[in-house]
Amino acid sequence: MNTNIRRLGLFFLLTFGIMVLDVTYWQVIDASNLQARADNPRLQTQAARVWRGFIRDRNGVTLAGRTVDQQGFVHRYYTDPTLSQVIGYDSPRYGESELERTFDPYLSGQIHGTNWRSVIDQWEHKTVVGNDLTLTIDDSLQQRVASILPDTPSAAIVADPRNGEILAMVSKPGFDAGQVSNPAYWKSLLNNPDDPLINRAVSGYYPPGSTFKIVTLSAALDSGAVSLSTPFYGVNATGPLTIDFHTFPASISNLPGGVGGVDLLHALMYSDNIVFAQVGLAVGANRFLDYTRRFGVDQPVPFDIPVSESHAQVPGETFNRLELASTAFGQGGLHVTPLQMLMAAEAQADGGAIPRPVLVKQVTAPDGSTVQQGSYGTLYRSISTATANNVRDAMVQVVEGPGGSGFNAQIPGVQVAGKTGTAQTGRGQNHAWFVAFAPADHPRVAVVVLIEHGGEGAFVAAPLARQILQAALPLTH
Amino acid sequence: MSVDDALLVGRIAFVVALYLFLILLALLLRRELLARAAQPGERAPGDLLVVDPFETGLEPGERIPLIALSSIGRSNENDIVLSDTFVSAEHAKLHWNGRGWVVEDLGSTNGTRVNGKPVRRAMPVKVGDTVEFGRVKARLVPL
Amino acid sequence: MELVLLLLAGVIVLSGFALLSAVRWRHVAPADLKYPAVYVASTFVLSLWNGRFAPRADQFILPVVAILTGVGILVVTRLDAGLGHKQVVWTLLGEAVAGVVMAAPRSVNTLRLYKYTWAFVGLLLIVLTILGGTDINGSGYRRWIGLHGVYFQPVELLKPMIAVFFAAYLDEKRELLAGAHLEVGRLRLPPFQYLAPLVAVWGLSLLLLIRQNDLGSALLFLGIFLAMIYVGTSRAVYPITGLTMFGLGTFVAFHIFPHVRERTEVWLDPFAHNATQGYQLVQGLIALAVGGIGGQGIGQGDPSRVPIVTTDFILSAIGEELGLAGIVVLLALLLFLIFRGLALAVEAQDGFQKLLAAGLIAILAIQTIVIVGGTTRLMPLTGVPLPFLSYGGSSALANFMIVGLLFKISTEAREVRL
Repeated sequence: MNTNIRRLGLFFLLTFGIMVLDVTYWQVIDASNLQARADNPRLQTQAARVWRGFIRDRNGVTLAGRTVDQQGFVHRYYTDPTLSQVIGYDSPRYGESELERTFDPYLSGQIHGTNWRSVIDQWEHKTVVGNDLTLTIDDSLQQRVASILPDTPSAAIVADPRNGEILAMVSKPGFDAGQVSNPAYWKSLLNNPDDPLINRAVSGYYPPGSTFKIVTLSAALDSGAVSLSTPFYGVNATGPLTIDFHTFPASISNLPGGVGGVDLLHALMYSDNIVFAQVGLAVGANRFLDYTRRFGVDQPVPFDIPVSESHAQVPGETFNRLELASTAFGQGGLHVTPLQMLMAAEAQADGGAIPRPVLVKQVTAPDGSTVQQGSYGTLYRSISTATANNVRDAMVQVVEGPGGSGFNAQIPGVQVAGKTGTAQTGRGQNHAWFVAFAPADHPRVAVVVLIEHGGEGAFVAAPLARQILQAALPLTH
Repeated sequence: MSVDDALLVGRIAFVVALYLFLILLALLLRRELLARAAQPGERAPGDLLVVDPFETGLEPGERIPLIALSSIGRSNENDIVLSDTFVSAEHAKLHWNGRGWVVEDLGSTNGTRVNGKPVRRAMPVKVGDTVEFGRVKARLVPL
Repeated sequence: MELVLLLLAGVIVLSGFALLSAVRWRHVAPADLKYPAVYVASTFVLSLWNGRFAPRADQFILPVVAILTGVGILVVTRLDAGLGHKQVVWTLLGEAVAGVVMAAPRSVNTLRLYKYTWAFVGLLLIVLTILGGTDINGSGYRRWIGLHGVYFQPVELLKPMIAVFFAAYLDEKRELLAGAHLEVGRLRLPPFQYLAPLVAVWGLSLLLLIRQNDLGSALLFLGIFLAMIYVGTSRAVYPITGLTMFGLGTFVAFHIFPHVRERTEVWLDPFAHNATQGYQLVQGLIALAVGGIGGQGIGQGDPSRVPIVTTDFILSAIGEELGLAGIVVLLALLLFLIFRGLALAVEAQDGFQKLLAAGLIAILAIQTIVIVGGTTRLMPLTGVPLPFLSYGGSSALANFMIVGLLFKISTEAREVRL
């Protein structure tokens, strides 16, 4: 019997060994998969206890903050609803969007030091404190811009063309990020036909209208195809113009009565579509598209929040002469974001260099040390400095010169460079555009204004841009 | 050291202490296994399996339990009494010292043999070996 | 030496409670140490009693049992202080029972005289639960009897009683079972007819257990049966036949009982059923994973996320807070106990006592295997308590009864016998 007892013991030993191996599998080998499962309730409680980092504007004003309740659960609050599409929301039910999402690893403290102290803090289950973000946004300007824009779907961006810093970004209609977790509110946002959740400034697609002429002009001057003094006489200036069986009527020449011929400079000032159609043809399709890419069209835009890529064409359509001509004056298959047009203007303000747009100035650790600096840099060198200066000067004439369409953007004592845009949409009223920067010789503020179906850029968008510039200029140096 | 640090040390120490307990158990057990059988009256880890009983009155295959120091002989004062004429009154001693067995012949008339080899004074015995006291044959078997 | 080990065990257990208290209050609250101190003191009392009435008995069993029970009470207290206090009370009762058993003047073998009585009483208790039992934790089956808030599970007492019965029967019929043959026509089969009363009692218990849907205990009884027959007869044919019957039985059960089918499906792919039947198992596995190697620390995890964590899934709580390191050392301690028990069985002189010791140890070992296997997806989950570690008053009583019997057997084995 004793042998059997011993064998029984061996059997138990073996089974215990198997059990230990099995437990090891769950606790070590497959552990990370199990812990990451969605039905692990600890994940949610842990996330709700993270002291999410603050988001502040460039002057230290709190834009997104946190409160901790008695049980240790953390709640997010937002102070400026006009920034909802920039900062985004952080909702346990619906996730994160915009900055709250792209910088979530920093805000939720997942990115932390690798020194011994942080490792030990983790083992001790210490409260995780996230990193804070300092934005380039100036909240006083932001709110001012939001009040300047009408309450209809519209967008505006104010930036510093020297370094790409975004000082204000407004998309209307807006929403209140703080209420997103309320299912009824969320539903109303989704059902709203004007899509408040979309950040129109960086994701809205619009035909740019005449504002795109600054790109066409840049292409023409930089390639040498045309010069500012090139004359256009008679029908070449007034229209009608027939290209490939399509006739552009004379009405789109926008020339004041009595003017029979213009040089390219004045064509820009009056926003003569007939002239620019021919300029486009003169540049040629390949070269033209090449320049549009140099300005960022059909390229992904690196930015701190997701950006839609602007396109020169509708996919699938052949870029024939008619397309080229239409595109040259800002119609055709062009669909661009307001950010794209801002970048086009910044190129002229910055000697041909387009800066990378920057929203986050700095990521700071709870102890005050810097975790990461903002991603400054130059995105493209689109055109030569000489070309940019020429385009800039032309844009100054658009605003300050006699008969220039941008006269509503004039500011006493400041030289403003700008371009109007009135984009045909195919249904309803035209979109009203205006891009500008000031002061023209050493620009420190660039702005783009878009009013959906607002009507004429010169009369609807330009005055708003003027107000925005007037608000922004004193804040920058 | 903050409270949190103390708690961290504490919980590591707790699990470590359990392991130390286990190790201590194992060490003490080993010590006892070696020491226990050295006490003469305690049960030893082996029996004598009778092979050829002759006149002892035992049955072949019968197991005789062994203690640490078992005295063997014809006299009734022995631990193991073998009443065969060829077994001396005090014939031998079978000793478990905690690590192995030793058989000691006490000057018997007909001698003691292990696996056929005569035992002069004392000789180590292994489990499985055959021991003869006179003509009575037995085998050292495990429990 | 037993005292020294007990002292160490007591210190470790008390430190565990101090740690738990510190985690909750940021300092050690003396009130939290009251019940544990009483428990630790009781282990010393039992040891002194042990020294008086069973001085030659094995010195290692009590410290191991003490530390395992202590850790068990610690984890249960962490999960629910009320249950923890109750567990201490039941443990003290169990220790008293162990004391009575080990001090009983008559030999253990007296038990064999009443083997049918024990079997009958045990089965009767189960029948009582079928007739008038209560269901205290909503499992859907009434496995408890009691009143005024004090309930106990008769099946826990039936386990050692059945072991006594099996041991007595097998010891008596050992030669017959090992040697004789059964002639069926021209075939020579092993003498199954001598097994008849054994199988009858065993079969009856199985039926009652299945009636109460206590599949875990049924599995345990099968295991004890096989283990003891194997130890008792050295003929492989018995366990092999037994296992074949088990296989057939499971096959049949799988098709008849939807419950069995459900458990098997959950075992095969718990993640597919993670929101329904598999929820408990999946949460248990997640808890183990969260524990990792070192554990979250006692009182610092979230083990209550696992349903029925104080009994069936105590291992998940241990795994989450004490980690793999904790589970391994506790299993090692259990294994140590099992080996000491089996060594005791080897030391015992008397066939009945050998079988009884082996059977009692098998109860502890097989329960551990079944519940650890079930909660770690090695086999379908069936509910049996993890010895000494999970919450269970009747389980504590029965386990200490087993300890008492082991002490008795140990004492008798070491009496000098010539």
